[in-house]
Amino acid sequence: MEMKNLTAIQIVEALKNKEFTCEALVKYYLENIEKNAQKNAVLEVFDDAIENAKKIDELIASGQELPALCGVPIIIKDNILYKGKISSCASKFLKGYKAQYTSTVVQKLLDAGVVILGRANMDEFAMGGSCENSAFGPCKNALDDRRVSGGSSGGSAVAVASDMCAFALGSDTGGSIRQPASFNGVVGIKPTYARVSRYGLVAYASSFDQIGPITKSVEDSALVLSIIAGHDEKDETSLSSSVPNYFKNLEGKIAGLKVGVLKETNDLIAKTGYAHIYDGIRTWLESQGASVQEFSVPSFDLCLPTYYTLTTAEATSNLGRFDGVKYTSRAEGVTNLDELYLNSRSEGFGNEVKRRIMLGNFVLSSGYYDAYYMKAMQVRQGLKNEFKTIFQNCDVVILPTTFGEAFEIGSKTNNPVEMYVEDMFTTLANIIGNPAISIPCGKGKTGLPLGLQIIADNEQEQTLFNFSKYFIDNFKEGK
Amino acid sequence: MKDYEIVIGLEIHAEVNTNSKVFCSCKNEFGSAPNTNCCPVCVGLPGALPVLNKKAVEYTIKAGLALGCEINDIAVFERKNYFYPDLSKAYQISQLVKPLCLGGGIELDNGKFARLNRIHLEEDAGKLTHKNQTIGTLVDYNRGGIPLMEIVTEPDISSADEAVEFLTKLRRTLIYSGVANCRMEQGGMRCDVNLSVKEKGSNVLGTRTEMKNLNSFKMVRRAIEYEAKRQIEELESGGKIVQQTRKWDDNKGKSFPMRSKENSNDYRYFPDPDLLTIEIDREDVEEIRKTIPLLAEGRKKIYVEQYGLPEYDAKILTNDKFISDYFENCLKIAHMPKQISNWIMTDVLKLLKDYPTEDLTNIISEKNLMEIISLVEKREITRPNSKALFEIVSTATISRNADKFENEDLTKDESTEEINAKKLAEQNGMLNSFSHEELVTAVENALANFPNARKDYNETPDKVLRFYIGKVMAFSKGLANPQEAEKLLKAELEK
Amino acid sequence: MEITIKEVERLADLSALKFSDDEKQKFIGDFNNILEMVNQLQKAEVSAQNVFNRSHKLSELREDIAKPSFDTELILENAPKQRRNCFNVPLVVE
Repeated sequence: MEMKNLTAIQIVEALKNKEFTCEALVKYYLENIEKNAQKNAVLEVFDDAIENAKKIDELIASGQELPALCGVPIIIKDNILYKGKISSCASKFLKGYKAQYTSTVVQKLLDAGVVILGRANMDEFAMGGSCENSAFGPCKNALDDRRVSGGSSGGSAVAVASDMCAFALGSDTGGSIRQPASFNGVVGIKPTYARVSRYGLVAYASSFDQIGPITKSVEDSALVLSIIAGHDEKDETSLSSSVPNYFKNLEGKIAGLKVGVLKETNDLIAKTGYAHIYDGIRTWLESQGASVQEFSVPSFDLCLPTYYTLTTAEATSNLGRFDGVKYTSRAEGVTNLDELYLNSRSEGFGNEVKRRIMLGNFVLSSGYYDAYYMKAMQVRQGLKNEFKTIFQNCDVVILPTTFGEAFEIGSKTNNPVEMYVEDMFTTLANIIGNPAISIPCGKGKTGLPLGLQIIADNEQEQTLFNFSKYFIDNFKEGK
Repeated sequence: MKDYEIVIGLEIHAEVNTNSKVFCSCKNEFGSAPNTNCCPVCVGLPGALPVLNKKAVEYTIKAGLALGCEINDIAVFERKNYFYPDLSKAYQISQLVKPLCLGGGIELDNGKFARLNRIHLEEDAGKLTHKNQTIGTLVDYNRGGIPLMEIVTEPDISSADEAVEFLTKLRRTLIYSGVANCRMEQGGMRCDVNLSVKEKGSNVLGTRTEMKNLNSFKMVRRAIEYEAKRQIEELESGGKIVQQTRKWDDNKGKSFPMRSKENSNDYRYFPDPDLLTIEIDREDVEEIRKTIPLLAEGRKKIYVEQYGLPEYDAKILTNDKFISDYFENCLKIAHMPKQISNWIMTDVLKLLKDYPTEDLTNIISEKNLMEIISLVEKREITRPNSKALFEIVSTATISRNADKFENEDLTKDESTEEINAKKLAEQNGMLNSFSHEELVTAVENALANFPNARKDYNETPDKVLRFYIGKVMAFSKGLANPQEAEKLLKAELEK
Repeated sequence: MEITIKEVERLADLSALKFSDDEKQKFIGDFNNILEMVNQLQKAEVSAQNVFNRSHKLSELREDIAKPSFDTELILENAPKQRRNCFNVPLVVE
């Protein structure tokens, strides 16, 4: 059986039917990683991948009941801890950092039988939207080496799109799963905030961060999320409600659905040059029995300032622990404590990280706290309230994932703000905490993929999956 | 020289008496080998998250209730950000805007009510050991994450005496409530002193200084006296007080300004996104209130009103909870409050001075003390012998527990045989050997030797009886049981 | 509002970061652009009240049960410098 472009669900089935061995499959992926080395999607292939695949083959041969993701080879983002393996967050500072414990998500996936092939490139500490902020070089787009992979989970998205693994884990603080998924033509979901445990995810902005899967299909997305979601006693903030079996309940459905669009995004969409595509989607949805209604969210344009105020505030505090005392590398030749901190941190962090640490300290520091941090918290609360009302009147809100297809490497690196504006459509879901998915919905002028972003009410991931399945199965561009 | 008033505010840190740390499940324990009570959370490893300990919250609320505080409806944890090697995450999880407890206070003996501003819960930092230039500083995170309640007073205290009295009473309340052990020598209770001086009667507060981490009441007293004098002298000589943090050097008897940076007070507090807001129901508060035991004052009242102890004795017995507990354990063996109190007040407390401990059974077990008291009561031992027996039993007990005292002259007695007061009395020939036959003889002798006295028996029977009892006791050298003697004498006299 | 060198130095101090003079100049440029974006917040009309995280009840908190800690060796595994089972830093002068 052909191993190319298999989904996790197909792999589980094929392994069970002994179409091929897990070892052969892992070797196939490892070769693919090797062949695509220039993409720089994978920072390290774990040396025990083949050995672990053999163990899976033994398990399959033993005839025992197999776990849900038995033998599925995956790649994890470099900020998700797996004991004994390096987790560098694509930072020079943590270049040799060997995880001392395993994150809850990785443990859940290991229990479900996955084989972890390696760790994926990313923007340093997940700060960026192009994967150009990696200390180990940018990750290139799966479909075009001159263009960015997106970020910060760029390596994860490219690994999936270039068939280096069945699926990958990413983390999403302001679009870091959805935007690279969109740029590389794959499916990426940011679950409801706190739906997936953050224990063992190196924190960027704690009240925004969520781990989620990047997959080749909606079915895989639903299956993987069913496995990794749920309350974790090691993460006090994780939601205690039970997790539905999104995969089992998956039912492609759009008819009768109330779809919301945001008035404030119309001008922005026009600026993308792809208004016809998103307008086409609206028309198509109505033709499929959905109703489309426009909602106004006057403070939509405050998403970016709110996002950059609050995430940098949290980040500056979260990144304090990287200080050259306990595990991050220490600058050489330091003779006193001040030098230890200053030199280690100044050598260890990249420019974008430093910028955000500085901004975070600005918005929190005495004299500015009320005008920035507190104000942003209040705007965030206001947005949450507004969307609570909106989701009383519709099932999903749709908007583009990005401004367009992947941009060229280096085209935005000189202007941080231009880069930040790329997050315009994605930060909303992190600010309000709601689940959001990005699915491929067409192609741009360059032939590269565009994404449709769907946001649902809190904990309504099932609605996202059902919508997405119907959309992918039935929507044909230009039809 | 002008007249000055001293204005003092205290910030007291007390380690909360829990099994596990405040944000992780590592042991809350003093004296372990370096970095053995550590995990990703308390060492601040990447990706680790705090999970709040229920008991730490309940105990802080309990302390608040015992001190008359209001309990907030919601409590929030915030991050206090600064870099220091003992702070593994570069922030301390603490409370600023919504602490657990507000208000409350302690009444001082002079009638002043010293108000509390608040009590909040936070995490302790690790321990730094400063070696030398070659070795540098060693960092141990065992203490990192141990729950600390911070008790902040209003600037109501005006002398070293008041400060020490306040701290003594506070410490007593915390210990009696069971929420903190306040072992000062282990850093279980530390005190920061904010002090300023102002001209008497003036409404304008002076510039204050802060002295950190004073870990004995003696240090608090000396530091306050020194700092008040320093500030007054500074002002008298036309100088100005600089707002600063000072470190008290107990050996030199002086305080020195601590190195500080321009930004050092900008802690950039914000709500910790890793921790949820706590909603505190009034029913929960009432449940906690029910768990507050009788405190020192309450016990003292019972000792005076129900046990008939003198006020002074009751005060001494209740000053320290461990003494009061010991007293009450003895009472449970036999309800003889006065006798027990007398022995504790004299013999036990005298030994406690030489052998400091928070467990009096290291000096003498309740069982042995009660055995001695019982021997005395039953006249099976003479008073002088009972004192000698106490000496023997306590000496044996102390050397058995030599390792529990910080006393180099003690060598541990490793034997395991039970120390039994009665047995020791027997072995040392201390028990009375005055048999019934001997008593009969003594009675006969007394009547025979003083035949005239009994003639008045019909007129003044009590007086006569007492006379003969005295003779019997004298004859027996105090060994006879007077009740027994009385019985026999009565029978003879009424013949 | 334009940011000054002095302000950059204050933030660098709070951040435990150091910058060369050139870096500071470049930083001022970037930072002013970012501030312009972030300053849009000032036009927001919001109710001025504290905003806190989601809440839970006292009964939902972790029970006070001590569990085994990590081995010291594992705790110190990534330490850039260690001595006597402790993390080791240059002598701290208080």
